[in-house]
Amino acid sequence: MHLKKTGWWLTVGFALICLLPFAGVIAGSLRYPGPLPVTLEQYGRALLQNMTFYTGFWNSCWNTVLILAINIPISMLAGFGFSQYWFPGKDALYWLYVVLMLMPFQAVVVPQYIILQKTGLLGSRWAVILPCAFSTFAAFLLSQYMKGISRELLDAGRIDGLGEFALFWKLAAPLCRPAVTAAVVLVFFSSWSMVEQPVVFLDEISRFPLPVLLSRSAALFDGTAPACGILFSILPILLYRFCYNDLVEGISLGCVK
Amino acid sequence: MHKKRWTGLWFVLPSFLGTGVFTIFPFFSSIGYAFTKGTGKAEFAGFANFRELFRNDAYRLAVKNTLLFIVEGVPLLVVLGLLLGIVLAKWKLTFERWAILIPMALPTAAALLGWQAVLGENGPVNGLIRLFGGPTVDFFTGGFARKTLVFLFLVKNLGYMAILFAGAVSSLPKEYGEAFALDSSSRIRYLRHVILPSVRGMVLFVCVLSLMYSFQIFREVYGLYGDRPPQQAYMLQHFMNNNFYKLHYQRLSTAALLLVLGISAVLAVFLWRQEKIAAEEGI
Amino acid sequence: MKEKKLLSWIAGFLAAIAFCTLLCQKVNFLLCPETAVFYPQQTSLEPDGAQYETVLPVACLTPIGVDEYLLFYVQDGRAYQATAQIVAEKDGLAAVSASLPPDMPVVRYSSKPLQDGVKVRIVEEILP
Repeated sequence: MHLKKTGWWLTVGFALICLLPFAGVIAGSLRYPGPLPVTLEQYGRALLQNMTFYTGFWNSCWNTVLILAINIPISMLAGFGFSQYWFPGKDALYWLYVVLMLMPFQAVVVPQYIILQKTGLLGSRWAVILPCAFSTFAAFLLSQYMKGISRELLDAGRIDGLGEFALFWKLAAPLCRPAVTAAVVLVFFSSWSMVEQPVVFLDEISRFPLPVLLSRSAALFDGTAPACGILFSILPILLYRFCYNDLVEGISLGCVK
Repeated sequence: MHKKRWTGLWFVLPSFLGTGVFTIFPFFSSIGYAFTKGTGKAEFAGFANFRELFRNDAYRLAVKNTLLFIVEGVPLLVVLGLLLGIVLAKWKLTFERWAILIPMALPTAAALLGWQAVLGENGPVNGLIRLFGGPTVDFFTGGFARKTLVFLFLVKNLGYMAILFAGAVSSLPKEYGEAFALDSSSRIRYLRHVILPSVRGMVLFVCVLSLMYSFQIFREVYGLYGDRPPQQAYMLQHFMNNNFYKLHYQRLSTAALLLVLGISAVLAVFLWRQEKIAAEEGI
Repeated sequence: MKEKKLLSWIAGFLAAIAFCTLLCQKVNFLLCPETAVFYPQQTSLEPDGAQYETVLPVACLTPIGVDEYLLFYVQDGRAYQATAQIVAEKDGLAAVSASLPPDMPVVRYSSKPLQDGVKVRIVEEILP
């Protein structure tokens, strides 16, 4: 009985700790040097006077949208290929994908830098987007989920005369909706706070996404950084709020077994 | 039939081509740097780069800190994730389920601003400590730096891992639990004999994910300290970033190669275990 | 249904931010001083005919002390402060010794008083 209670209390405690940083930024964003203890002045200044915020915000938006637009379709295809077929070298390739997924960015920074330099992409938006767009995490997540698609279903589809691509598009893709949503949300979260690549591959401030600006040049924000942080968190929180069920089902690999 | 053999590869191809161009091919072509010396005309250097790297103090510090961070963070994350997952599988806990994933959704930059407000010198935590007569604790730059990072790492990723475990635990048949009486000593036996064996596969999966996220702690470290972290928080990624700015490609490629080999070795062990488990369970 | 709601929220938020971006641009545009600039030149000043590195109109300089002058140059859309000494002077032109980045325009007129690092807009380039 009492073990039960402890577990429950610890969970509640942890849940509250999780909300602490959010509460911290909100509290921080409502203060500004001046007579009032609580004010919205930071938001006003961030929204009306600070072009740096918008530069960073729109850069982050573009980067994230383009990464998603490339990464998710090819990862769905790759996940389907890995989970439903056998081909020579598949296991080695899958293993390679997992290694690549685990690889911290710094391990490939030199070769990526050189290839971006050779292709003339260095310093442009694409230098940040392309390497991230081909990250293998989503492919891994989706293939784990797609392992749960029943063979019989696909075989039935084949008997009905569907081609291999139609099997993927008409049968597998709709079944994996939660996992695809989860992949979109997770890739979104990770690209939204991208820091490592821009710091190395970009040199102009006007191309930096907001997280880099927030952590590198706080001076540009004249004390409005917490408000900018909150405004910057709205999109991920919205996504989280509306996709919660799919996200949980997708990451808990509901289809497996 | 022959056509069938390669169908899977066609699906993987678009992703593989991109990854190949931007990661795999460049990586293999950079391995050469690890074994050569000189900038203009490359000369084969054998293992000289490796010897030099091992003698480098910054590298040793970085490896030590990174390993310590992984050794402290990953097991703690897996164990706490499992416990939290079991609790979540047992009860509905709508609010808690919602709250524990928030740190994942909150962008790192914003979360750090929050943590700096909460743990900072004038924050509520230090206020509490002072209230009880303790000295002000510097969570970010003092001797606590790495512990703080482990804490941030746990808070950020624990929710994800707990949800994974909760999924695995709640897919166990209900009768298992009913077969065991519900007094506290047999609950521990239940954990050991029923839950643990059946989530072994998931434990491996979570270990791999935790390892991946443990390398992403660099975002937090960079957000907090920029390029110059305190001694305790100097990670492998800093070493590599700094050498990158110094254009020290040889040293960097050597370090990268070692890192990749290390990760591959760990992963090979994990996959081998997983296959064994899968074979035992007869999947 | 839920997707529709999500999409409309996201669209609403982005539209609001886009609107604010334009508004902010407008505000910054109005607050931003308009300047006329002059590109310092490498020429000879008569009568001695010696070559000078940096020659610009005297009106660009504001005296701040004995033999010390203040000027603003524009780099990446912002005005930065620098100090200069006059080396030679003739017909409203002055040769100065100042630590300016090369080929940066120097502010001749400004619609508002300038401070170090403020954003400015260049509306005119004055030719020698």
